[in-house]
Amino acid sequence: MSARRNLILAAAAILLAAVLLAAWEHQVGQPPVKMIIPTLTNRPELCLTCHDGIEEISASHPVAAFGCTTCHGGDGMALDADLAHAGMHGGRNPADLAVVGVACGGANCHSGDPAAGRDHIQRVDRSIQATYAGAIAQVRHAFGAQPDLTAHMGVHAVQDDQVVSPDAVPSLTAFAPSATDPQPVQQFSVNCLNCHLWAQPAAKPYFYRSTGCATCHALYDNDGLYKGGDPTISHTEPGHASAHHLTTAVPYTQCDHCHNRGNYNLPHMAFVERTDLAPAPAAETEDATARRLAEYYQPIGQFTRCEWELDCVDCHTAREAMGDGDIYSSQADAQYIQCRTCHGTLTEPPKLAAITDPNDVALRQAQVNGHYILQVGDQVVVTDRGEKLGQVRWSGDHLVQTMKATGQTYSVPLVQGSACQQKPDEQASRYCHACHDHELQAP
Amino acid sequence: MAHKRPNFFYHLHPPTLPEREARFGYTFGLGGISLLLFLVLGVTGVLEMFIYVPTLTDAAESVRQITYLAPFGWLLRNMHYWAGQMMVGVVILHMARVVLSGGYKGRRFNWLIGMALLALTLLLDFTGYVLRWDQDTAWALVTGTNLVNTIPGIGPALYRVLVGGQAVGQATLLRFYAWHVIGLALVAAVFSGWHSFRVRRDGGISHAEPAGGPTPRAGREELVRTESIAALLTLAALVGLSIFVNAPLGPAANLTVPVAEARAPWFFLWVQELLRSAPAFLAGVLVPLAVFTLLSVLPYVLDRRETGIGEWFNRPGRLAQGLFLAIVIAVSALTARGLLR
Amino acid sequence: MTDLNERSADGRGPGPEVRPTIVGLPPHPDRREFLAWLTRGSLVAISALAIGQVARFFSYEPAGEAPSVIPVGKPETYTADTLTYVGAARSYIGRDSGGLYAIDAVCTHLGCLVEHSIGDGFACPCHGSRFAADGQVQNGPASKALRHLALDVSPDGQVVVNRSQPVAPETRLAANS
Repeated sequence: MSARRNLILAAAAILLAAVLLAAWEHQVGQPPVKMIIPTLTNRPELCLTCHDGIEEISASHPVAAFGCTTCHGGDGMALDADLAHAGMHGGRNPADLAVVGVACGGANCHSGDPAAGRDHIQRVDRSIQATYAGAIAQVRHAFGAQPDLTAHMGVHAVQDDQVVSPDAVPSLTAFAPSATDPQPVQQFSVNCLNCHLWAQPAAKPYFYRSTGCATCHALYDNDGLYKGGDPTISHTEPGHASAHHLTTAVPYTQCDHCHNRGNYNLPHMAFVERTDLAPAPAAETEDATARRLAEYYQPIGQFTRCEWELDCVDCHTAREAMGDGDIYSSQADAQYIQCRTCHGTLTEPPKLAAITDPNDVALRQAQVNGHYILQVGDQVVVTDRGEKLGQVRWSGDHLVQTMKATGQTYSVPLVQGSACQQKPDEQASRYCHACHDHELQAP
Repeated sequence: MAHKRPNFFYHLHPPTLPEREARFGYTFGLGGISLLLFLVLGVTGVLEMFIYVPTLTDAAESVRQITYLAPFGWLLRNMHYWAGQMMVGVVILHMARVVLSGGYKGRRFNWLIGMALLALTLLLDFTGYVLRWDQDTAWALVTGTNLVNTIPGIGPALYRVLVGGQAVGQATLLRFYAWHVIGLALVAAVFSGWHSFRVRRDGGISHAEPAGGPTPRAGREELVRTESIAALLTLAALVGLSIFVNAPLGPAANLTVPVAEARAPWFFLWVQELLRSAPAFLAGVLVPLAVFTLLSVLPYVLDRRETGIGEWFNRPGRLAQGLFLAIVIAVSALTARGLLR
Repeated sequence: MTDLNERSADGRGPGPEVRPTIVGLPPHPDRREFLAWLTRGSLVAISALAIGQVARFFSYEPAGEAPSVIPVGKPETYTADTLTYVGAARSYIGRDSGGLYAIDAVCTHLGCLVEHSIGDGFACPCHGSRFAADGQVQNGPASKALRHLALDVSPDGQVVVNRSQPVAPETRLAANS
């Protein structure tokens, strides 16, 4: 019996040794920890241990200063995924409008003083792309749920203490159809609330996008695949931004994740997708110009050459797309850019303004974009509402437009001194299209 | 040939003991395993003290430094946690063995020391839980200390001593840290020594005295060998468990934010279940105290006979055994209900 | 069997004529010594290894009373018929036709923070107490209603909650929305 006893003892000792060896292996096998101590918080973060290779979010939010948890929340000192990601603002998207105030807000960040141009969040919350107030008002009016076309409801309730424009309203209540609403309005609320900044997109090619601020500023490829360097983000599962990157160099493809995707069918209260494009995005080898021309607008669109060679953001201003702080009842009230803003009229050249203040918003926009350079003293086009278009600059003898997404420059032809036959009071874009539509021969 | 003078370790053991009671299948080595786990807790705990910081701002972060940054810190923390939970289970099994085999007969004072050790083990586990300062445990601390408040008369004063102020905060964390690492641990160490000494002084491991004369005896080397096997296997199980199952860790505590789900530590789940349906003082203070008192007086009230010592399921002790098992079943049922919510 | 307490002729222990058969020991001294040496040696080696790893563990080097009157923001931020949880004051601030009111979120049972359930009322996650929208106990181990706390307006226009001053449930702070 004592020999058996010794055998058991030896076996137990060997078992313990084996387990200790397993512990050793586990320790040795752990990947090296990557720690950063961002200067804004001075608390260490280990996020890059797993997310090793993820892109810098932008030059204006360097990870050495911000770290990760300033914007994303979560537990920066944990290396278990569940614990590290607990408490993140908005899951993968801290720019979702439900959490953007916590994640991106702050007086020095994106919810500060309007005079300093730091009130992005307040403006976006009230913008037509977030409230969807125009569509809601039109449908409710069309089917008798409200007597006028003024917006009373939006996707979420918003309030504006300082109404500037005569077209704007002071507040909206949340759109919640009741059983007493006309049937089409109830159907509208079920089928059609897909295209605003709070809505989750359809999970299909061309439609993939994010929500909130990232809807526009986090670029998604048409196939919705991630192409960056973070090993924890799937490269095969669609529904990811192409890179962990925020940018103002927004190409037309980004806008087209919502716009130009099809049309509404009011009798059926349904959205009919356009069918002229291939179901999956085209391969890179195809002719880029032909693809751009085919993709940009739906086949029903009328547009001039600059309206498809340039990107949307090269004309449509920041205050149009992101809101100027007022709550508008329709897109027509929010959108105000016209051809003559850059091209002028027969009698007047385009209005210019000089940049005198080194803290001018236009200078900051140029720095953040990175594709065009502006300095104090430069003269740039200014809109009717006082917005400087920094990418359209007077070079001294001609007007230069630089594309925000690529940096390509164009010389802007002026109407004054040309053979254009426009009438002074017919300045809406449809009048220019009558002669300059891309399908017509150039006049 | 003269016996070699034993070293300290051998000296702690009796020179010989009855062979029947030296077998693993009599005691299952539960008392010894408890002691081993206590030693492991001490060693791993002291090592953790080199990094852990008991302040509101740094406690959660220092636990993560141990878990994710320090080499083998993860192993130390997991071993400390699992040794603690295993110890609660093992001491309860040890108590069961003592009750069901009539081991307390003739040694009732040591039974009381053992009950004190049970209380100390549970309090050590609870104070340790609190120290990791995450959302799950911080609320357990708030509720647990508020239970003290419900005691009539001395309750509020006792609460302030426990909490170190008017409400749970920095002082509470520091006090629970002091209780855990030295206040309760030192008392538990002394009582453990006393408990082990009393076993020897009461005549060695509780054993049956059959009528037919002296029984075969085993030597201390045999006993030590058995203990070594049990120790090695326990350590292997502990380290194995520590490699594959991590000690729990939740988001850092924030006492201004409500939680969706608040669960007591598993060994107090039965109290939480009682608290759902009965008044706080009754369910949280009186009933646990009553259960504890009932168990303590088993050998004084329910089984005073000294016959049947060392015999599993001995007849004189059936009442005590039955009551003990009833309490175990009731507490287990409540715990299961709490787990399944 | 031999009684080990039996003395040999000279009284110094079991005599040489009595060789005790103690269970469990190998009978040959040299094997015994070798095993003892082996055990001791292994223990020393293992301890050295363990101390080495403990040294590695050491090598890691790492880089008052709460106020009872708490400001909770401007009155305009609280819209009618909504209940807002303010963590700093651990209370729910609401507005109805009479004005602003504050309900203490600390459960009157054992101190957990209650959650606002869908619909009206509050539920406590710890032991299941339920309260109506005005704080009255609907269900559960709690026996006292949730406290209503005093509200006031500070000189700089902010609403302040006084956690040490409970008020009647009908009390309202008249403040424009």
